[in-house]
Amino acid sequence: MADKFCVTITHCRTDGDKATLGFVVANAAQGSEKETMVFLSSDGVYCAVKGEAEKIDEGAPFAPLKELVGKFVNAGGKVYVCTPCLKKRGLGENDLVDGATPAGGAALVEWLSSGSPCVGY
Amino acid sequence: MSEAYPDHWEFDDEFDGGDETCGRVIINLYTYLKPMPPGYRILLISKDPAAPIEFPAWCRMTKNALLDMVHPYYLVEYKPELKKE
Repeated sequence: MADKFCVTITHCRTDGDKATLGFVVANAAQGSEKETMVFLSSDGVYCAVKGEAEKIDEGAPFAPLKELVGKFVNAGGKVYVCTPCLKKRGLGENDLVDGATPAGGAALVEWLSSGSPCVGY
Repeated sequence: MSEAYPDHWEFDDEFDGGDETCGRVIINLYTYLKPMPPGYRILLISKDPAAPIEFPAWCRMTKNALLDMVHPYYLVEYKPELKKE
């Protein structure tokens, strides 16, 4: 059984439900002692942009996105954010919340090439 | 759903996940158990209808021992393999 896990999320403003679900599964993976990486790309980068996660709350039984991201990072989860996707939106490293790291395709490919399963939202 | 856990169950503490489901209860449980010593026993309570599938899977992945289960009650021993004899 692989000891790593990856969740890719491509939505936030476009589909808060998918962004929320992605982080719920990421929390399940990190909480199951998998070394877990969330890779945010396309509109998903907004999950890690200051002030944006606060806007997503799908209601019960889901926790607000801000809480889900915070729990994931505090539990040791990694959040990588696609740099060209940020740049396209006029955003940069300084716009990201604490715990989020700009990264590119090589980081994602290396992670998955080590045998990590991946689920996408 | 059982009204009470079996009389013979012995544990050090209890963790009530309430109605919370999926990643939410898992990350809370993980964070709660992390500082506990190997061999620590908890009574886990979860009314999540997925709990009979979720907690056995979680215990297998994390090498925690699911000693017994009578939904919504689960008797879990934390990291028994790391216990010092």
